[in-house]
Amino acid sequence: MASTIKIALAGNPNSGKTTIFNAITGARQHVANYAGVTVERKEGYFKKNGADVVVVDLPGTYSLTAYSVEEKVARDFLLDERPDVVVNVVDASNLERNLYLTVQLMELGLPVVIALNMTDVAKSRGVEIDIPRLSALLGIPIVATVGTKSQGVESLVETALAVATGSLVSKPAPIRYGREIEEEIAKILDSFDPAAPLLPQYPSRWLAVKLLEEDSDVVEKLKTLPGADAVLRKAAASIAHLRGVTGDTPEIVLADRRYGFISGACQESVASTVEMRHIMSDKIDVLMTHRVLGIPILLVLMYGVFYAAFYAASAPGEWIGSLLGWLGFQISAILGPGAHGTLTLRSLIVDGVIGGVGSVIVFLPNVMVLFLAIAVLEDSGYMARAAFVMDHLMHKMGLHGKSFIPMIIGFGCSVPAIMSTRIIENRLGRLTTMMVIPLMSCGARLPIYALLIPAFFAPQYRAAALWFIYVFGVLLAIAIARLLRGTVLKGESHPLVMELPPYRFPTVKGLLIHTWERSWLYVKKAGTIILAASVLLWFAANWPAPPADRLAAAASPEEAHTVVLANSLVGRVGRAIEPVIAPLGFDWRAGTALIGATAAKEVFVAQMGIVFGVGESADTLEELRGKMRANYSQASGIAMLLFALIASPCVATVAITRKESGSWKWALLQWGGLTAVGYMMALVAYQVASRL
Amino acid sequence: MTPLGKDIEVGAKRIGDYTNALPLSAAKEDVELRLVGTRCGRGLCLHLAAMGLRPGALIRVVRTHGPGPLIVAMGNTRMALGRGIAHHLFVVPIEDHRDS
Amino acid sequence: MTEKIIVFLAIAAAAAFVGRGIYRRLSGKSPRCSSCSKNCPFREGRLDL
Repeated sequence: MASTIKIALAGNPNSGKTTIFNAITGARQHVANYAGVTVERKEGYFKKNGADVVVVDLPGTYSLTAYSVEEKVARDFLLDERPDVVVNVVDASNLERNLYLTVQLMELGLPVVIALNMTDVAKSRGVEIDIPRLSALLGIPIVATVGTKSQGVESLVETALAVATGSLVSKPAPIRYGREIEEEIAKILDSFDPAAPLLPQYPSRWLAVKLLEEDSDVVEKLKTLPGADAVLRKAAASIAHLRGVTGDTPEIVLADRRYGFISGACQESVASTVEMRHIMSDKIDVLMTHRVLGIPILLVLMYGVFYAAFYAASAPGEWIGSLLGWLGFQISAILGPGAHGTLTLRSLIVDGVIGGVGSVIVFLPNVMVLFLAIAVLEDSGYMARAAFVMDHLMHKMGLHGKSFIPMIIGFGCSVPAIMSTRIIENRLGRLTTMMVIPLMSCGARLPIYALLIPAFFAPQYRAAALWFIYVFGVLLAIAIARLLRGTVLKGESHPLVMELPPYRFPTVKGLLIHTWERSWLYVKKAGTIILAASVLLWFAANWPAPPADRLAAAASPEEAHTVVLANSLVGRVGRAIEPVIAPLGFDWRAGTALIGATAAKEVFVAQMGIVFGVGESADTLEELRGKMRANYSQASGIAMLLFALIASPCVATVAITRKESGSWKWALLQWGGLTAVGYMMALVAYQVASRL
Repeated sequence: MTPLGKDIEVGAKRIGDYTNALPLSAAKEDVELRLVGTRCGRGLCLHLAAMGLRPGALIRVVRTHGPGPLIVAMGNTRMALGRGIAHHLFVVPIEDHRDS
Repeated sequence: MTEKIIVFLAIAAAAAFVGRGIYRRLSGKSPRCSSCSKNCPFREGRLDL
């Protein structure tokens, strides 16, 4: 028998849903996006009793209204794809709040199984739940689990499969809303035409309830259908009637009744609900969310994250670098020497592919350590505190605390940072955050700073200059975010409403899965977009080939390389834009390197090495600095620093912005806007500094 | 008489029943409170209700951050609320309901 | 050279700070209530505690 059973996993954020998902499916997971929206769709697979089982991990939500994209995605999945069984992960230590989602699942008329999770925590807090009683009251099978210890997972899977195959019955108890509301529901149901159902895939009682709630999504869908007018009019009359009778809008009354049903069920099945005034988590929070110490603690933790990412992981990065160097050497040996920088297969592979993709892969250990450190902060529950501590400051930018998390990640790499803006519910806030993330100096910009700052600043000022460029990026991000929120991205900012989960020790499995998922996306990016961009840029930097006699006249391979680049498309464009960048204190060589930096920021250093004919190894870095000092003033150097910080975010950033924002418009606005701002800043800096 | 302005619509009946209602943003730390009304857009109100912040809920301010956000305890849950939204949640202190 | 730039930046920052203060005073914004003033229930005697 080769039938496929589809299980949907639903639950509140912080209910331990992901832990249960990992426990059920192990490593056989697949991450994609729901069509049209950037909400992650996680699927896991396993085989049991000859049946293929696919588990879909729905986004964590508190309810199934149309408030956020996540809720809408979860709801549409349940309605449109009709899973064979819904496993609802419920936090036993927080029963009533969690059952609110359960009630909504029950209303959808799908077979539900409850995974009563964190029963150990509940027990330690003096909560005794009579599981058979609760199960009978809700009409739903309940399995007690402790996800972090994989307890009860086996039995949960068996129960879910039994329900899916029909050998066990899950018949959710009907929710009654009281006489007044039931009458109105009946009236709306009467106005439905049984011969021609408006939205046949939706249960009609559910549809009636949603109409009373004035659910924006359902109303929008109905409006487009012919013959829905009568139904909508009926619903409007019912809403007006209920408003008059109850003095409240129906959706609030309905929510109230659902909670009434829940507390009724809990009163009968939960023995004691002693509220602990000072749980362990609160004690930690006294320090972590301290009015004065909160931000310093956050800064120290962030420093730790970056220290780990840039120093602890630098050795493996060097190993990868040497490995790539060796690989290039071997390929050169196989394919024959050939001059540096000509259109040969050897040059394509060594300079184009290995040089381009390699420069991204070299950062992989740093990025992995960064992701791991961030996963620790997330899984332990600290990230929510960071958002809390930063909320006031971020609010002044027209954003809220949650935007701070992607911005921090942006110091590592803009690509994962832009991906992580998904945590921001509000689209305007999310777009604003995306737009300014490239101003956080990413890891790839560090090599540029490391080249330029010692070249143009005396030793005692170097640390301060590096600090200044990082801080300047942050300040500029604040200014631009405020500007955007006041103009193109104007709108009410979403208020911060966020649960602070209790602190817990992250599980090794969870951390590894987290780190792996994100690192894999980073590698995939390197293998696709950056590979394509590198090959394109390699071609533009080597074509057309210079006349043979000029090449022959070159005294050294380095000089030959310079000749090739000067004659190439990139060199020509660099020359062509020279009049435009001259007011910034740049010449065609700097222009050429800055064009190269569009592929990946750190390419700037390599290109500079080529145009000055010094090669690109570490030994020649000081030689390159000397040549730059001879050719550019300090004012030019400062302008270059600012331009590298602000202007022209790399191809990968543009690509991910396009993907995450869903349109080229925002990606191009980001690129164009930042380039314009970078140009202005570099212009002002050069003109001012060169006159001081 | 209620000290609240006319623009309070959602949950107005409930708030009106209390003469000592004040916005959550003005509540002191560590005082038991009962949420008596919310004044916000429909989507947000329903979202808050789904998270448990609905009229009738017993809450307590754990920490306020000056003009910034605050942390609220509700049973075993801790929630961070922005200052803006805290202005729109109305509470009454439960003085005679403190546990010893 | 670097010293000159530092002095220039310091003066520019001080000027910007003073300018912001003057702007706030002139535009009638209260120095205490800023971003949230629009929603503040304490404003204009809406809620007298």
